[in-house]
Amino acid sequence: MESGTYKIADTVFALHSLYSTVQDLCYDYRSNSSPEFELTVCPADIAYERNTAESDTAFSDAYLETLAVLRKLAEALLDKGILLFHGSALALDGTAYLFTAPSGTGKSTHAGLWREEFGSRICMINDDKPFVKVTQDGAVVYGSPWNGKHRLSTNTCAPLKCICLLQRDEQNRIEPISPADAFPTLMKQCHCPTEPASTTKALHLLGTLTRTTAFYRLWCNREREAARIAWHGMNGQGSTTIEETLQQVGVLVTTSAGSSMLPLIRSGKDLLEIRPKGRQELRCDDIALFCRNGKYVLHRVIAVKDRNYTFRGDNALRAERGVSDADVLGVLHSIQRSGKHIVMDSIPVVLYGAVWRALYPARALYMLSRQLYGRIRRSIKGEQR
Amino acid sequence: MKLKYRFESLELDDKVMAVAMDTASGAERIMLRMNKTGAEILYLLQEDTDVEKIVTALKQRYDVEEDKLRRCVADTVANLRSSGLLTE
Repeated sequence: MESGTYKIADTVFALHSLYSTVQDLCYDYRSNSSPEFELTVCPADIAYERNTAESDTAFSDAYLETLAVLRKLAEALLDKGILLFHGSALALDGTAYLFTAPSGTGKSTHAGLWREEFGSRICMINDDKPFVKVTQDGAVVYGSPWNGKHRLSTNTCAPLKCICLLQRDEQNRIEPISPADAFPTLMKQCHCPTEPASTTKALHLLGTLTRTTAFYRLWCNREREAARIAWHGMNGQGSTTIEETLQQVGVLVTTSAGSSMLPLIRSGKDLLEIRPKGRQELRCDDIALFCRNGKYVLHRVIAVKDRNYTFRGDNALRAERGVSDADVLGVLHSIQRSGKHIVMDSIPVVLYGAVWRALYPARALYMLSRQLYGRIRRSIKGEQR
Repeated sequence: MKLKYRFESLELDDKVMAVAMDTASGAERIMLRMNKTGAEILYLLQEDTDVEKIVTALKQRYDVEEDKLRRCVADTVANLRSSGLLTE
């Protein structure tokens, strides 16, 4: 029998194993503190792992023992409010992000894109099986020795900012999702024993986790842009300015405030993907972000003359004239609404823009009539008082 | 009729997630997403019952037309039955 004492997820335990492989695996986590509990592996545990293995490969007993220890540890840590997740966890500037999805989706690939994009600012907490300690004040992600085929992990921890559910797609986009939408994936991707009492514990921990953590769904490809869009989607504009974000990240994912672009853009609800304008001149019906007198405005181009533009909101009466090329920061590329990705240069959206602009005289008449009616009503009420 | 499995539920916003106990773990675990009325019907189905008993129990709690309530219960029961989650 091999023995050692280890500290994983802030919990010290003594491990008694049949083989040295698992002791070697946990080497970076060894501890001199007094263990809070003991884990002992017996041949039946190894047999259980062999019977439940999804692959037909003939695994060695020593390897199966490492799985048995992980399972027993995960079950023991449930009592301490700690969940084992299947996912890739990394920290950027000390804040943890956890990417989870079924095997083969590309969690490790996506984490690799973050390392390429953010370089030394990234610390890989664990690329396969991180532990998440759940408290009422928030969650903390811990590294573990079970770190996937690339062996990427660090004996460290970081406060969890959010959990991102990955899905492969050709285009990159991200949107916040509700706890109810995240729950089925979370339940499948965390270690949840079949024994009812343990299932109940895991369920309640997940409930607490959903109250303290934000969730996102990321549709992503294997390009570095996926990491930029993911980071930006999970961080809003952060402390950088819109100009800096567009310049450095190459994309701004944000919501808008105000009703001037209704019905196309709903204030605070639709997620807008804005990309840098580039050198080309804007065209009529492009929707662009410009800055004037310190205010950021996202409106539709209604006239172009020598790189000077006239803008108007789809739901506005007044036009903004004389906006120069230098004032324009970016162009609206797409809108994410209720899970749908609406690309601005798709035929229906282009047609919508042209029709909406052509109908302006009728809309203006209607809006002016409403304004006039409102003024008359207010003045009558004022006289009655 | 009654449920084949015991379900543990968790309220998330206006939805209730119900997870079957004593079933396989991971991808095979049975999970249901429903509104609060659906969750009450599920709770009542933990014991042997029938549609009429469930409607009577819900009528005492909700000020809803009986026909509407009966349709709701019948739909939920039909969904559970087609998913193989009820024993008769």
